[in-house]
Amino acid sequence: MTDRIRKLLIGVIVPIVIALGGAALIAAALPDLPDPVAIHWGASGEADGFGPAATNLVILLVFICAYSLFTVLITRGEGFSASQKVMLTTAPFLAVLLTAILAGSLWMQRGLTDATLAPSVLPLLLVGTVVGLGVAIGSWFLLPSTSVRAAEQSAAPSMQLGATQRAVWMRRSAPTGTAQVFIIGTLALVTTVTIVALVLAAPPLLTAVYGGFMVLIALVVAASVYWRVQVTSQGFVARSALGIPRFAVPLADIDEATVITVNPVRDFGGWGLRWGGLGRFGIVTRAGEAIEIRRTNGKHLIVTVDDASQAAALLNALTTRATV
Amino acid sequence: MLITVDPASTLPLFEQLVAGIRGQIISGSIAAGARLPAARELADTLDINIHTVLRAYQGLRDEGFIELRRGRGAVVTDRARDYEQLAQHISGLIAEAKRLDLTPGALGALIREAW
Repeated sequence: MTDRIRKLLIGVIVPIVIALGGAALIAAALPDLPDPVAIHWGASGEADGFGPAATNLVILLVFICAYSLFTVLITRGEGFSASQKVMLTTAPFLAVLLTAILAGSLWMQRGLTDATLAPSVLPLLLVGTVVGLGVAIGSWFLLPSTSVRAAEQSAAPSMQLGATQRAVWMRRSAPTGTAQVFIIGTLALVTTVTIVALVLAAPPLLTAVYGGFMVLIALVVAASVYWRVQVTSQGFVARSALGIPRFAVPLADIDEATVITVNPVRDFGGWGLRWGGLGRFGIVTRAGEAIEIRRTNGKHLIVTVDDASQAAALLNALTTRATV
Repeated sequence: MLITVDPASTLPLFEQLVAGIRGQIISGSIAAGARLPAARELADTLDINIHTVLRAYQGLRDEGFIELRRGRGAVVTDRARDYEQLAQHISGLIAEAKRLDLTPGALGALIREAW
């Protein structure tokens, strides 16, 4: 099996086959089910939510198909990282778990006349989780081994810097225009929905707490995707739009700076502040050009920023001048 | 944006700042609408007097390259000027001057005399 086929098998084929099996089970149970069926259970294990049986069928198929599509999208391109592998093995896990809950809970309700008598769903949850984990672990070994793509070995850029010359490089790092619209749009939508729901239904105190919570989320997002990046005679510093967090690397701690191309999902498993494994820490606001700073302690700091070659060139020139 | 000054140079510091920033606006590496660093921040990082930076920013404003707005700082203007041809002519001039073994100073002097 080629690597591509293995990824398709684990991310798409196996989950969809499992989900289709669950769908067949639901279809087989349909004639014998009460109407409505139990679709939600309280913590005590008693059914407390009811609805049409077809809901489970639709949720199962739509969710698994959507996640399968997601696995295809995130594994495009070269290389295969551990985070991509985890996201792929999550596909069969979710398929098993959702099938156990959505199809299993209906299967147990066959022959009932009243859905309030539906047995607890908790054993299904447990079995689904355990079997799902087993399938996910098996999938892990079936998938190709991870290959962190070798860093592009372009020579470290440098520039002329006179003994008395002072230089500084500054740049802002932010998501691309489309991503910004998406981030702001999502925040606005969630905030609006929350506020409307709260104003309609909740006491003022709760509304205030939730409002504060939404502001906090907006601040955290702003702090993790908008950055100001500087190279000065002191070294390298990246500060979030809020001022904190702040990541500084003094000149004396810098071994070398290079320019790399970052694929956020493959290299870091997403955007924001990220550990990429092997001592690599990333400030990832978008895909593409990034400065990679190799520290003397062997760790790497990676920051996605435009014009990274100029930043790396200045940093290398400053480092060289400081050691000569 | 990369900004350099050399206190050992015979050119005044504010002129060095103006030349560096102007050059990057003309070459397009600083885009219209971009915000220049706050004067205080730039002065601190380059270890120069804030009035030197302010003087440079005022010079760039007088030349029409930036606008100084209260609260917004120094913003590169979006006046519809196309520097592309000028940038091409300049690289042509430099190539020709190098071929003739002229120094940058000599080329600059020729341009000033012909102005």
